[in-house]
Amino acid sequence: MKADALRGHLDALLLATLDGRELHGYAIIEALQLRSGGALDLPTGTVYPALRRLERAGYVRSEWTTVSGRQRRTYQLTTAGRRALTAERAAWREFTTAIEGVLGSGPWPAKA
Amino acid sequence: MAGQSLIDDYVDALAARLRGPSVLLGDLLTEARDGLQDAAESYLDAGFDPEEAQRRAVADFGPVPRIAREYQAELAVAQGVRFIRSLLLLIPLVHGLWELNRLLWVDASQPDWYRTVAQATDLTSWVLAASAAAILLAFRWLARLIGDTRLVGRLAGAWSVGAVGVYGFSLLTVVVATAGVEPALLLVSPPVLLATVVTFAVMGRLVLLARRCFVLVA
Repeated sequence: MKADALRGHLDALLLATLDGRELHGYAIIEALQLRSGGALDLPTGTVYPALRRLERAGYVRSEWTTVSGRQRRTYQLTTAGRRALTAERAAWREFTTAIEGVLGSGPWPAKA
Repeated sequence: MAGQSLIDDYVDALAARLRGPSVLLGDLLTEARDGLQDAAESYLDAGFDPEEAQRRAVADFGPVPRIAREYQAELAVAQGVRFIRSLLLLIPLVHGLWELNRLLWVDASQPDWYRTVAQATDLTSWVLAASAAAILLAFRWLARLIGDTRLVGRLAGAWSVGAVGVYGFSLLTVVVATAGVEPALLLVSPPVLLATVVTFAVMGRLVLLARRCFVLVA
């Protein structure tokens, strides 16, 4: 899946990756690749500014912590981030249900 | 470590393209380097030799010009916020100095037109300060509303340049008006001279910050 197709969904994907846990940047990238079966093909360098943008919006907070003996900037969802993720998930389900209704139903029955 | 050179080269190339508040810049570059090292270690664990591991980590990170554009946008927004905070801090300082002068030194001989100029300057200052405070208070909401960081940076740059132009004009008006009321007062009276010097110093600082905002989004 190419980066252009992902651009509009990157924020929601990052919020979902942080749901219920605190992760540093590269762990977020690994989790994204793992959950997508390696299908998400975006430059990993774009993830870090996106995380800063989410922090600016108040959806995540970050701090420098020691992970595996090294200082890393780790991110976690805020209350506003959890609310935004819930809304994104609801919107996504609505969208996929609508698209599935059209694309997944096969050809129209032949007219009698 | 001999195998660090590709990551070092990449981070150096990224740093060469970025400008902005030094603390945030250092923070972003440290995080980028950490991410590249994590990726290289992951490839090492997968059995690649150190140089190939770093080459793959750098390739995954993305082309320097594209990644630099995204980082630069964050830096431009941070510079805009810095300008707005400076404006909020400096407006009361300059206002307080001139208000003190008006009460203690030029009050007795104030003609009506000088009062009008002073009131207009006060109003301009407080409108700018109120709008700066409103932007800071609504900052998170604005970040959610405008997802494009580069657009946020451009808007911050445009507002900064506009604000410094309006504020500079109003401050110069006070200085010229005070010279019109009593020309010698500007140089002879130490409090008025101090207010004038502080005004020009504040304007110099704000022009510099606004110019940086403008340059960082260009």
